[in-house]
Amino acid sequence: MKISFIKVSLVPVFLWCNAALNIQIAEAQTSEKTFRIANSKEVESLDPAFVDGGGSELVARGLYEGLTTSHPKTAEPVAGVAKSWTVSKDGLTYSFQLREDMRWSNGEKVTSADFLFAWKRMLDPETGAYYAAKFDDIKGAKAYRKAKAGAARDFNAVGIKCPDAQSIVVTLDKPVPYFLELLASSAFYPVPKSVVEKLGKNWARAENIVNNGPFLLASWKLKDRLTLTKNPQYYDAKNVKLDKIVVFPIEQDKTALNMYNAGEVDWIRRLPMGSVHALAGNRELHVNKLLRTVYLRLNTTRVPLKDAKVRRAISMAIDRKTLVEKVVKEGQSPALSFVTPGLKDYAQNDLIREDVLEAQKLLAEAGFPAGKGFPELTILHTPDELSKRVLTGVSVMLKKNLNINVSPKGQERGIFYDALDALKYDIARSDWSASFLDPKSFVDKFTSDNIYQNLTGYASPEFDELLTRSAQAKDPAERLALLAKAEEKLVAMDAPIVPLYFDVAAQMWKSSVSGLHENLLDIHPLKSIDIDEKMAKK
Amino acid sequence: MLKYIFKRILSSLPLIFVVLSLSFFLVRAAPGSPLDKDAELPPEVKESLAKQYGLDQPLHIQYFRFLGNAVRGDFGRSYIYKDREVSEIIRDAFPVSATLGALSMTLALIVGILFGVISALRQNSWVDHFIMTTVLFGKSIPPMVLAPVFIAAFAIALPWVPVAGWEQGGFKDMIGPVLCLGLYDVAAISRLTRGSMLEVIRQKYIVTLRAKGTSEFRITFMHALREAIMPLVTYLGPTLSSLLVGTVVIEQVFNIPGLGRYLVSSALNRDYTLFLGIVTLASALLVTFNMFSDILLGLLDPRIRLK
Repeated sequence: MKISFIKVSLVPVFLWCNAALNIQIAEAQTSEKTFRIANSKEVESLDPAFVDGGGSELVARGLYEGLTTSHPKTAEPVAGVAKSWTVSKDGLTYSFQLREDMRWSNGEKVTSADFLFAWKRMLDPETGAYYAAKFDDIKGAKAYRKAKAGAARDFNAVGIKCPDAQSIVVTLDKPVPYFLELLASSAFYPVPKSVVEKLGKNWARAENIVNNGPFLLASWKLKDRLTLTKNPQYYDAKNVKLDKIVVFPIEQDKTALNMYNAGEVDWIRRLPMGSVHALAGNRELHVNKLLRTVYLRLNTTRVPLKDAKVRRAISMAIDRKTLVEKVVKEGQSPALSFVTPGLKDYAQNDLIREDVLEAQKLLAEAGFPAGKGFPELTILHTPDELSKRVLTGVSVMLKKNLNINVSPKGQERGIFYDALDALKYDIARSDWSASFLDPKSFVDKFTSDNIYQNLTGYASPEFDELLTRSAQAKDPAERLALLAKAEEKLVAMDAPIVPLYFDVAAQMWKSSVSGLHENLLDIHPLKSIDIDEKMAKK
Repeated sequence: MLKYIFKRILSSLPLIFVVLSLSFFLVRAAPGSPLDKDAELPPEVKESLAKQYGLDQPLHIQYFRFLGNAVRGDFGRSYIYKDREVSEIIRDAFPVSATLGALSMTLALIVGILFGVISALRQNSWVDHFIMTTVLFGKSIPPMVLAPVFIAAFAIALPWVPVAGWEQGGFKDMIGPVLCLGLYDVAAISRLTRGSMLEVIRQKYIVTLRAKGTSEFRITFMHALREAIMPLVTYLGPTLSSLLVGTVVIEQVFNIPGLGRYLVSSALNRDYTLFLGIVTLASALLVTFNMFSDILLGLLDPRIRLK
């Protein structure tokens, strides 16, 4: 009897397990090409005014197309909605001619009025568009977007004009060599005027969105998956190879790698820490050099970091080669400048000389011989494991080489940003990813009037002057030379920042995938990707 | 009974009010804001967004507005997922967490009660020692450890189930998370059941039933277990309510779109509206399940009067 009731009680457990092992989910046998991406973060919004971060940008690039778009190999601008353009001799006026066969997903034609409307909306202070400042090189745009509430604003004073439905003329304040590149980013995408006017802030919801890019938004279940399908109305649909793209937002890098290993995704955009070393030699591993520098911000308003000699001593006493080879170990390279190498025509030498003896001498000159009397400092960072390891390495080097105590302190994101904004920190770990292929994207963060990005208290009239002159320079070579001088002043002489290493993006994609390329901006237009289904199934 | 339920609901309202008020002021007192992005936003953009969100208003006005809207179940839009209403996010995520929680609790109850009963009936035998050691071992392996091991074994080495994901109605997707979450509670449930069963089976009415020739199955499940289950009912109220609003680790490891992931991300991103919406739901569920467990106790044991 006792055994029988145990048996009876085990029945539901047995049934449950049995069903779990036997149920086979029928997989749809279709010939459509599906590409699956493990995105590290959920897309927050698909309204171009609020696209934020690389993961969102990736999806937005599949849904929209700007006047220009990015080349998949080089990330350089190529024709998008604009089929052609001319630039005036002084480099200030760009005249774009739009394609006539470009349509919105609701069938309406994409016209210059949509661009005008989208850009005006971006510049309208009431929109609160995240990256409206990208328009600042356009004549009158900065004044328009910064106008106080209630103040009279005249969009006619902004250098954006549409002579007819197929033409756009943009006038700049000064020559901007990277302007065509900017136009390929999400801030400059068109939005469907008629739809936005009708639906207001609900227009970019999954069920309402109307777009002009190579893919359509088929479904979007937050924190689960976002599905794109090929847009048959796209002017270049015949060259779009994929029928369907599924984007999974996966916060845990290990989960993403497990899914990749199990064949559930074809591309993972971020690998778990330490896995690059373990995966070395795997031909599906791609360690992509980026325009991203990891650096330390030094608070120049605080003693003893007020003294440039102390800041330079800290910068010179760090052994970056050891840091990347023994601590980071994922293909990064030591940063002896702030601007990452690889930019066309920008030849920058190593600006930082790692010299422990010279660093000790500078520290002594600043009043701290052999580190005596030097106060204990903290390096603030967000609580990720890699930062903790890197900064522990830095603190050990500073103790050994300068006999000063600098300890890492992990702080929750909100606390970290508040401390940065209020300059309530000694040293802070930061990183910067350039958004266009030009050294200006790095250097102009530290001008004295760039309060919201500088965040070091650094203010040097000489540095500001170099940047102003570079912006006014007519000759491109002279412009780059002035930017190089400014960088030298920033990194080698005044040192409010201490570059540590040039970062990489470690990713994996299957051998069956083509059209994905490593490039400095980590930009990957979805329309150029293809997958060999037969190879993938093997 | 209805009067009792009505009284309990009324008495729980001040509790929910206190929880919501504390949550509101605590989340607002935390440093940082929803306007902190990885790339710093210009001050004029922050100003404009703060105005849109109503964050430029004095705190007490924001508080009363929040309370007024909460009563109507309207928590506004998420500050991070700008195209979505908080109620819509919860409506999508709650069924996922609730399914996962309910299934794992069902599994934990079936296995836990069964193990508890067997251990009690075979007290101090090798079966008892084996079960109790096993469940103790299970309890000392938290889901955050068990889940990766499960994935390595059953999703990668033996590809029987998917690594991650939660397709609607996908039975295979549920196996891993339900097992990893459910087995953790088996230990507590089996030990509770065993303890109270041991007390009950020694009582005189059980001896009388045996003397009258009642079957062992009937004695165990119809008489002894009914009384022995009482401590479990008390345990179930808060456990179930916390399971239903999501479990962060399991949801993250298996990439499940449940409330647990939103709770953590909304707190970290200072998505005030979404965070407060989830806290409201969690506190309402806690109060409700505690009330249900009290009612259930009264139904199981008439000696307990609902007053």
